[in-house]
Amino acid sequence: MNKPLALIVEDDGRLATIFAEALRKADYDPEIVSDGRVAQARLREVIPTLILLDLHLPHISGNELLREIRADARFKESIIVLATADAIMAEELRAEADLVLLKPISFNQLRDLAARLHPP
Amino acid sequence: MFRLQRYFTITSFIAFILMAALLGYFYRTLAFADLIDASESKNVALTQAFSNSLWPEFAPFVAEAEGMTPPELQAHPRTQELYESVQVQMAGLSVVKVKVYNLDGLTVFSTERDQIGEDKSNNPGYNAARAGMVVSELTFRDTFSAFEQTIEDRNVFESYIPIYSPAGDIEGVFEIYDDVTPLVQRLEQTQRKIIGGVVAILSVLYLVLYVIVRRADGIIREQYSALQQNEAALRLARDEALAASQFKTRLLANVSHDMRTPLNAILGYAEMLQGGIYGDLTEQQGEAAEEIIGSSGQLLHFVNNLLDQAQLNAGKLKLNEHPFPVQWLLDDVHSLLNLQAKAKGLTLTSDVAPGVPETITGDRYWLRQIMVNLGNNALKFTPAGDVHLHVFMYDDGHWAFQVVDTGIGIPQDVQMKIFEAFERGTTPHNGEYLGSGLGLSIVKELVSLMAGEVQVNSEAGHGSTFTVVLPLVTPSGMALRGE
Repeated sequence: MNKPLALIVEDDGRLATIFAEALRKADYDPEIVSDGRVAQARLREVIPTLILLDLHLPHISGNELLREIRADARFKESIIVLATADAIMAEELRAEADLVLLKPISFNQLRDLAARLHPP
Repeated sequence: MFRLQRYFTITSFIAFILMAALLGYFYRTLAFADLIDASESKNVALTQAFSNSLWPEFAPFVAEAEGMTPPELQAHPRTQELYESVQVQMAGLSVVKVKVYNLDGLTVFSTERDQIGEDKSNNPGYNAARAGMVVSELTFRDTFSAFEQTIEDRNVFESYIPIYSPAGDIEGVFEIYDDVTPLVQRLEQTQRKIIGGVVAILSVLYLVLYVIVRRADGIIREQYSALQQNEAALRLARDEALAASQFKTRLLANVSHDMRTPLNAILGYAEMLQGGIYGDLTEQQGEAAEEIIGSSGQLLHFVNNLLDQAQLNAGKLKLNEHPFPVQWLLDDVHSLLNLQAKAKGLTLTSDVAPGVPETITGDRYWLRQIMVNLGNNALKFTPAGDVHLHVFMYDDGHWAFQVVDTGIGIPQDVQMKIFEAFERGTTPHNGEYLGSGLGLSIVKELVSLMAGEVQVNSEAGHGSTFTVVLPLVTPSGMALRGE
């Protein structure tokens, strides 16, 4: 059986790698996109089980992407995890997402949380 | 702004005019009352002189006059005689007319011959005198006939006065007209002088007051504009301070933001190394990875605290309360603290006591910050031994989170101060325990924001126990664990 898809939207390559490894450990199939516009295009094709969204993205902001995902019924089963280094913004968006992680995000922490959110 | 000068100019002008007018009016009233009194006394005296000198001789004619027609009376030789006697008596006096009435109101004699024979029995003045009273009236006459001549623009004072017999009976009524024009003129002149004097005095007073008020108005205006300038300066200073404070908060947020990304990479890669993602490590390599993880954890903690404190200072922090599983929160905190515990060789344990609801409503993010801060503190001040995280029901309405360590403890006298920003239980010289000093003050502020309280139980050398007691809110009633 295929592993559930986890779409990582993160422009920093190092962090994207860490997140991908953590999610792979948590038994997801991670896919990395580093740009808001690319993410938008990709989300037209796939319905990820988990979307890990950085809020500071080139071209299209994470906020806007989050609003679009929230407005789209196709993603109503998807788990939205926000990753940001901005604690003030994290505060404001906590109600919008399933989980908000404040950077730095520990590899082990993300792995454990993602494993917990993993569909049975 | 209150315009003192204009206000003074108008009100005092009106007040002074009124004062001068009132003074003139009162003087006139009093002076005329005096004039009337004096003139009446004079008329009474003249009447007395008349009744003394002419009446005894004239009285029989008055009695005779009964039944005569006016022309008969006017033509009577006694009338002419009396006219001449009266003229002699009144010569040089200001008397302009004299009339005599008998007890029936018949005009028996008048210095104006035409009026002889007129019936005055209905005249109120005559009737009052007939009843024994003296009645007087001051009138202004455009024209007046006096001793058969016409005089103009006169103030005439007339009195009806009873004529008494030597026995004291009223035998007739005397009417006398006195020309008081010179007296009235003098009185009016005096009145004008008084008003002029008062106006002059008041004008001087007005001028003096005007100068004072003008000066006062100037001072008030100066002070008012100074006040406004001060206020503007204060407002500017306040705005600048606010802007500076906002800038500081924003700067802190930016700095911590910029530190987080590289920190995340350090932490993440070290964890991956340690977790064997890039192959197995030797024991020493594993220890090195743990050191990196521990140090980045400390740095992360410091950065978080810095930002939390900035948010608390800016008053921007809002609680965002949602239901969450208690066990998840504790596991989250445990896994975060365990990195440091392992790096220090300490044992970290945690448990949720029976009776605690599975799901609690609260601000998960800030609860985590509180627990991590307290846990970090415990790990920092425990050189050896263990740290235990404990969640339990404090009482029916409160749940509690406890951190128990076997560390160096806090002396009694320091316990009161540890919740202040930049205070530490140990002396700053003790390099081993250096920290930002922000952790516990943040805990205290967050807990009071959540309407809870922090308790400390410690003895130097025998470890510390920090207990956070919070009001229990559950999503729906009491979903107790294990039920």
